[in-house]
Amino acid sequence: MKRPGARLDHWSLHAVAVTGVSGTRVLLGFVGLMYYVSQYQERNYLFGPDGLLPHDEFQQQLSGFSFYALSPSPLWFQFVHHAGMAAALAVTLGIGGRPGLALHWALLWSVYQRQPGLLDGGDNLAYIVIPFLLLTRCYDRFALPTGLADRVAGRVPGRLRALSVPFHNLGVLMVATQICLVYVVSGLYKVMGEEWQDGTALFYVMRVAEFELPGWSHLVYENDFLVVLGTYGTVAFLVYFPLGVLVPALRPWAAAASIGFHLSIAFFMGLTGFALTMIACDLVFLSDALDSALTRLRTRCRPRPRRTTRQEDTAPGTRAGAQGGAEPSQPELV
Amino acid sequence: MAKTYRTTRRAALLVGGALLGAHMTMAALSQAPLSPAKLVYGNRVAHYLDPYFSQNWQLFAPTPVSDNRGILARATCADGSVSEYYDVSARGLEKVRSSRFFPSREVRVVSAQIQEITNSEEVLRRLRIRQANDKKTVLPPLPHEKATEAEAVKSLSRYAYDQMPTVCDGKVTKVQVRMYVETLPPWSERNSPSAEGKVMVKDFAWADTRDLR
Repeated sequence: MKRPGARLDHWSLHAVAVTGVSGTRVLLGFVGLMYYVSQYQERNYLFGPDGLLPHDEFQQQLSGFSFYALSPSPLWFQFVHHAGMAAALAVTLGIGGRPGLALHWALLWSVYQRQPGLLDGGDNLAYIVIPFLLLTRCYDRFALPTGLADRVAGRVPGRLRALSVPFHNLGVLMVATQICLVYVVSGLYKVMGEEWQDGTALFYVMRVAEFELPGWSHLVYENDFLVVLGTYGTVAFLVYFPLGVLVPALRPWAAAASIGFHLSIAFFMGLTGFALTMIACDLVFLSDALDSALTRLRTRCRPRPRRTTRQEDTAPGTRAGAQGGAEPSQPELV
Repeated sequence: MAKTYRTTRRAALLVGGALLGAHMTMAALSQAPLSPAKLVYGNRVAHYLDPYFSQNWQLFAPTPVSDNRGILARATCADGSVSEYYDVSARGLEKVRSSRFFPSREVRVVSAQIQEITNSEEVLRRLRIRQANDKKTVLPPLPHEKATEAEAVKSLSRYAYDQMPTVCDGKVTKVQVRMYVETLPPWSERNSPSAEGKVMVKDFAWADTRDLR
């Protein structure tokens, strides 16, 4: 057992789940981008100043801020909306770093508030988790290099740079705790529900027109075995998810189960954005798996595998998975 | 390396961890079921979290959605005649059912407003259920509940009005929204071919189109 001081030092020197949290940033950026893209044709009606919710009524019911509230001009609306789209694309591609992510959050919050009725749990999770991502080094992987970040980092005093890893690890921990809270709460409330206790909830949910996939859903809800298995399986998975991720050996399995669960929600219930947002947050538990997948991909893409520094950098480090998929620390930042 | 700025790093981890831990405790308490602790601290917690960290994870729980909800609407024309009912929900519903890759969310324009109308706060909901069980007079809608409903009905009326541009040759003076809740046959009747759902209907007041647009 390490002394508490040594443990603290370890946590403040080794950045955990860098690849996973970078994946979270990419996927959240993509879902945000698709919020704009999938409603692009209807943007004037759904979000515009002369649309479903006229500008003056929007201002009256607004809580918090929204860039859309600043001016009733249609031109301003188009500008903010397209800027939001560009910011989401930049986050997906990994351009702009954390200031870009902060801007994306502000624009996304603004468009969410413009028509709150369109939102679901996925959007709720997205606007809560992005501030935590701002603490993390979520642009260390899957990002287009611009070189700007390195130049800025070089000018930051060492004492501030020393905060990088502690903040990163706290941010990752917050994302992980938040997604556990989501699953456990939704699981425990299901335990209280009569239909979930009876094992018939899936039967009821999947017949509702809004959440039914014609031609497919009936294959599940007309099968008694699948209904009961799916209902109890859902509750068991949600309630026990935190235990699954607490045990390192079970962690990838819990995350994989969650991804499978949410992909089927996306397919059967048409909640694509919701499902991908949940999966994005699950990625913090899959950092090691992502790392080894990346390494395999790199060796396959190159005919003669060369040992480059980059490769070593992303190789799954010592099996320090017990700390949450620990990464080798990056000397230049500590 | 381990000793450079050690105090700064340790302090950041401890102080940051404490602050974030407090935040997460608040978030967790906001999601707890109605409890004595929540009655005392609930408002303060909500005040801290709202709006940027407000959250609700009762996803399809405790009671899963099990009915089809939507609206119909009819119009009064400038010449005084009244139109047939128009299925306002159909378009959004068709759109969401026809795609599996980020399908249109237009259907939620209606379902979110219906939820505003049919949902009530946990404390009031429990009180009314108890009153009904004890055969006492059930608490009538409170002023803020009436205001919420009026706002939702206005929004639904406007959406309905926008959805029927050709009715009355475009000369509509009033719009009336009819909300329906269709309860689907229960599990016990799943194999019965004659099983039918029950439909509950509620008509809202006529809305003057000059107030809508």
